[in-house]
Amino acid sequence: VTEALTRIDLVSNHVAFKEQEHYRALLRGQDLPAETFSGFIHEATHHWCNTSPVVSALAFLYLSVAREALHWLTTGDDSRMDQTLEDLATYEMAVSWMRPLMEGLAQFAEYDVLPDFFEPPQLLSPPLDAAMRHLFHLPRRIASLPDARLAPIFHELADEISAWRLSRQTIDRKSDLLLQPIGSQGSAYLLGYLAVKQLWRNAQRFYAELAHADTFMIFLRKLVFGDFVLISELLDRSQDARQRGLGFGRRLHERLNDIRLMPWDDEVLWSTWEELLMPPQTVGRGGFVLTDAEPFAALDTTELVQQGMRRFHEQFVAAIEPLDLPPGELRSALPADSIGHVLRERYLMWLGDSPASWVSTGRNRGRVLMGRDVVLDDVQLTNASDEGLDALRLDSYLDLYEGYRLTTMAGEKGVFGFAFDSAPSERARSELTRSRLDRHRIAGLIDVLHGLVSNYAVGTNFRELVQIFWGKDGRALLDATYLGFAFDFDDAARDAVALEGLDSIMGNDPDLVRSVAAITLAASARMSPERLCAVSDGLAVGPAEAVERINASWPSGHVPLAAVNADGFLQSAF
Amino acid sequence: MAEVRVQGLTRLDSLDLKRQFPDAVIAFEEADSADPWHGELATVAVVTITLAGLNALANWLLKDRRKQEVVKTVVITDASGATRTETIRIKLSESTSQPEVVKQLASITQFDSDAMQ
Repeated sequence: VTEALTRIDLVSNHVAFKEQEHYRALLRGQDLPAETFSGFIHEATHHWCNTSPVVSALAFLYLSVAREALHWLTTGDDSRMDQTLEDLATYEMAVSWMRPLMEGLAQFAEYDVLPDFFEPPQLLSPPLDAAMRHLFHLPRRIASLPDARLAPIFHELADEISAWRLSRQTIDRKSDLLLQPIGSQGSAYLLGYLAVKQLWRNAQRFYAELAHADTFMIFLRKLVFGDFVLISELLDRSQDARQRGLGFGRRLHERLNDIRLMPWDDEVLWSTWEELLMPPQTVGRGGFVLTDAEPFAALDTTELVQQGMRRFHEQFVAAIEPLDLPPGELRSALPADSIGHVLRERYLMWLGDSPASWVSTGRNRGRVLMGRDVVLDDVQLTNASDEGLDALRLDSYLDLYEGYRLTTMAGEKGVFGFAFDSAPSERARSELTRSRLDRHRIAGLIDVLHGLVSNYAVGTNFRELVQIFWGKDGRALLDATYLGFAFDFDDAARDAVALEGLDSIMGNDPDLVRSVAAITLAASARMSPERLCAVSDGLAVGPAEAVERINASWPSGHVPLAAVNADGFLQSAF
Repeated sequence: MAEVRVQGLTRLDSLDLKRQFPDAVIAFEEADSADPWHGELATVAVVTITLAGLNALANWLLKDRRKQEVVKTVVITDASGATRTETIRIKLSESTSQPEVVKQLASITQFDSDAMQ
């Protein structure tokens, strides 16, 4: 029953958006409509997290398994199978540890992150930056300003995003999130979202700057997804999968606990954090773009960080080695440089494609049409000929780190030209000329690799290995990690949701659910009940009635579900 | 009991539908966590095939009448446990009635039409 959904592959970082008609319109120079905001920022946040050191290390690890599967398939040599299955089990365990956090951050971006309210922002996450540029036309708005003050524009953008969030579509989407089962064996979505949200609420007590959801998102991503200690555990082949999985889980728990308690807040000034978080920096290494690769370490983790960096580098070098397959069908499907190309383009977010045509207007000069619309005019080909060129495919990509949108033109022989919506740096341009930029091929290739890995594990004890891990110690630690943080260690709130479910607490009344969902969204945008009524007038249960009804059934004041604070603003930890 | 699995019917939809069809039984299945692709929040609703269940499903399919046609791929599991995939196609207009759609669903799911009398 699987239908077209927006989804992302962790290994290749390839996104498939379901609203292709909107992304095609972007190629025609039209703006993305506000309704794409939720899906766009959700996937852009995944994409950004997937380019981090920890998820890159996971991709390297997975690709090393895929290489071994290929080696076994072509030679019959299974001498390294035990180690390879240990790697695969470690990969799967680590992904399970990270999954709630990945989904939690993506939903936090969808429902809570706003442009900085009060001043021109010092920090801006790549997903929010991309949403403001490509959905909310930031460059055009800036160009129309008589002076360089960004604050009014950011304020206006925050209002527009809040208005979308309080639309019926988003309220329904958030309602459905609140109705998800919680617990690691249920859905990762609500569990991860609540964990991120409570950590955010806590963090504001230590650094006022972290009251900005976007700044907190950058902070959390850096501290967890940029943590080379986690990588050290993940890639430590001197240990078996169970030890690596548990080590990864323990370190993750420690890191989340650090974020909750901020033991360093007296010693580390915000300006120091700001310096550390100030990238997005990308590092070109051997033709590969690594984002946010700058390490950080506490005094007691310096050695582990160095170890993690060493292992990361070794795994990276192994991952980009050309494939050496015997001649045949498989080598045609997986050329020597194919894995290198998958890794080379992980930093580019693919938006979609469209058929187009080339109309020559001179020697190696022409225009590109989608239907009858000219989408690229006066294109001069500098390194390719337009002889015989007719049908084309246009592909659209975003570089979340430099902010430009790239359109590639491909004919039968592959990509022959680029166009940008804003000028990229020399470094970015040079990276692009070394890339193949054939996303269809990458998507096909990654499916082949997933199939190979899946077949490799068939008939082995791999599944049993993973199940024993979760049955024995892993599940308890995973639950302890997330359930505790999700309710800020408030047992009454946790038990109410875990045992009864929010649907039952809200009397299985869909109107109350929608109203509570609207309150959670409005609370995040610091609205009063009156403001919520003004923005979202279609609620069958008004905010005041919803707050009253929730008060009667919700057991925790520490983790409020729907309340009004002493200043008259809506309040919710959900 | 025979069941029909359908994607896109959410937990919130289920609460809406149960107000109108309190006897409908609608459960949910989580996505496969081992899938290397991570997608947006999407669950699969499992509707038990009863008259109330078919009415609820018909009501949900008719929700958005702005569309000209609703096309849904569903998986039907009969009482013996055998499964088959079917595509539901419903032309929508202001005059498309719920009983018509229920009849169509009953035919697709091979629900005993005597029970509908």
